[in-house]
Formats: sequence, C-alpha cells, structure tokens
Amino acid sequence: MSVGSQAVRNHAPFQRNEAKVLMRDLLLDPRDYVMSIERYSTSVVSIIGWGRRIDRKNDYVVQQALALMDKSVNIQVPGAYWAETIPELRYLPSWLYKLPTEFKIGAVIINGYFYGLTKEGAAAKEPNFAKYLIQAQKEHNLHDLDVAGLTSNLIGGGVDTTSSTMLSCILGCIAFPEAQRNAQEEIDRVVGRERSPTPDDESNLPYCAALLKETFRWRSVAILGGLPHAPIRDDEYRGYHIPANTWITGNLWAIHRHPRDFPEPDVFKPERYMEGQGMPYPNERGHNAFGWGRRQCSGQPLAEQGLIMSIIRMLWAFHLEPGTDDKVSIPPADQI
Amino acid sequence: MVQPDIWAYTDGENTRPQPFPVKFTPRSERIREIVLEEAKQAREELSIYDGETRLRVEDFIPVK
Repeated sequence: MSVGSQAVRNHAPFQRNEAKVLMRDLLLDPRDYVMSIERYSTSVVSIIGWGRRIDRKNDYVVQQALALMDKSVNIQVPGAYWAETIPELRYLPSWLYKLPTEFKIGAVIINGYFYGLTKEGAAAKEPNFAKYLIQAQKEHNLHDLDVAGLTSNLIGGGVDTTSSTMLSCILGCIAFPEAQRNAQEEIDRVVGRERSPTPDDESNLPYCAALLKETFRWRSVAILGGLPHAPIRDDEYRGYHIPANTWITGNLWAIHRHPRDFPEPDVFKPERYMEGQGMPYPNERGHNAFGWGRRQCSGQPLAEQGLIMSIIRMLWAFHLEPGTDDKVSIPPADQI
Repeated sequence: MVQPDIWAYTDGENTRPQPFPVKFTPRSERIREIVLEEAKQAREELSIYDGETRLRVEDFIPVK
C-alpha cells in the first residue's frame, strides 16, 4: 500500500466508492459540502494508511487533520519566523524566545500520535501502509520518527490538497458556467443520465480531464510550488550568480499566469488543455501544481486518480450554481 | 444568489477558496435515485474498513 503510480491502481475501487458516498452527502447535506469533501479526502488516505475508513464528518481524525494542516501550512510560509534569517535565535532560552520549544513539544506530540495510530493501524484486518511499515521497521531498523513521518505525510499531503482542489474546481465551475456546460455536454454524450460514470468512461472525457488540469493551473493549492529548493553548487542564470545552498522558491502563482503561456490567465478555461490548442509551456503536463525536481509531490498519481473520478461524478450528478446567502458550514479549525 | 468572488482565497502556503455558498441540483430525478442507491452499495462494500480509533492527541502530551 503506497501512493506510487503502480500502487494507486489498487486504490481506485475504494476511492470510487468514497466518491459515491461524497455525492450522497452533497445531495442530502449541501450546506455542509466543505466538510463532506474533507471527510472524503481524509477517508481515502486513512484507508491507505491505517486500513480504517472515516464515515462521519465530525470524526476525530478529520478534525486533527484539519487542525494540523491549519498550523503547519502557515509554518512553511517563507520568512514567517525570524529564526529562518537568524538561525542562532534557536539557542536563546525559551523564556526569551518560545518558538523552538513550542515546535519541539508540538513535534513530540504529533510524532507520538502518528506512531500510535500506525501501531493501531497495523492491527486492522485489511492490508494497509501501517502494517507494511511496522514490519519494515523491524527489518530495516527504522526509527519511530521515520514511521510517524511516513504516515503523517499521508494526512499532510493528501487531505487539504485534494479538498482545496475540489473546492477550487467547484468555484471555477460556478464562476465560469460555460466550462461547466461544456463538461456536462461531454458527459451527457459519453455517459448519459441513465447510468453513472464507469472507469472506462474516464479516458473518453478529454474535456473533463482538461477541466481538472485547468483547476490545477488556475488555482494551484501550493502557490509557491511546495517546499523550497536549493542548488547543490554555485550556478549562473541569466547573468545572476546563485551561490550553492541558496533558498529558491518557485513562484508558481506567477508561472501559471504568464500571459505568454496562458492568455487571459485569470479566466477558467479548460479549452487551453484540449488537443490542438498547443502552448509553449515547457512541460507536457502543462502545469506544475505538484512542484518539480526532487521532492515534487509523491502523491500525484493518487491525487489525480481520485480527483478525476470525483469531478466527473460530481458534474455528472449535479448542476452547480452560486447559492443563496445562506451560511456555509466551515470546518471549525480554530476551535480545535 | 451570491456571485462568487474568484479572488477570495485563504492566505498561507496552501490556499483554498474562502467559503462560498453553492447550490447542488441533481441533473435529473433518475440521477438523484442512482446517487442514493450507489452510495448505499458503496458503504456496504466499504464496511470492511469500518473501525474506531481509541487514540487521542492529548494522550501524547509529554508529562513534565
């Protein structure tokens, strides 16, 4: 059980089933659609990681996942803390500079929790990543921290990213109704309204595939391309000298709206990704929402597989439009 | 109807839209039925993964 391109094929059946449950939730409890999407994405990674699905929106693990992401994505903002610029600050006593101690205690708690979850998951009946890891830990002498890091990465990488992409896709579809209309015309032609989409339909829905790509481009979740990179030796680029180990952040937001590659970049327009509309963007995929180089997102195959089946199913099932000014339920992240 | 604001996003390294109201209308009565039937069957198939976790984050707070 892992998230590489071969392994994810085995995950498709339960991903599809979870997408079916998500459609029911969107139908019966539309105001709570954000939490329904969070439940869906957490349940998929929880099945992979710990062999346990998540049926309720207020499940304890969902709440922890949201709270954890709420905190940790802000930690990653470049320059958020003085200690990044002046590393020596971490040697100050904690009564003078609390941050390092807070991080250390936070890490002890989270690592302990995830190692505990992994041991618990290894005892579940269905095959899962935790079972594999606990076995591998004995064989390869892995530290508890390695095991905790590997399973917590499923939550860190797989929950908030997938949910945010779904939300941006919905926003794109209601703000640019023509894109939604074109996708539904394609679905009506290929699938119809008398049966639901099957795995075989997916390769016959190029507009829907383009709509997902356009979502990745239009509103990439990690707008700075994820974790920073650094050259391993001194480099020259267009007359700039870049010393080894310089922190390099790719401004994905700007890259994805370069008018040369993406005319009218703020318009949500899946047509850009249809065949024959070729564009000069430097890679075949046409976007870099999953980062680049080493440490690009390892969950990409899982994410794309889950998103395409959910988006096709959602656009098959529902006409999406702006709601009335009713209150939307939002995850209670700050109350946790 | 509230026209969606495509610029209303959260700040942070990972961003997402600020909550916006959406209306989900089933595209036909038959689709509505299929959604409910298929969800029921999906939950039955997924029941092999049912389970509860007993662990709580608080249990891992180090004691001084």
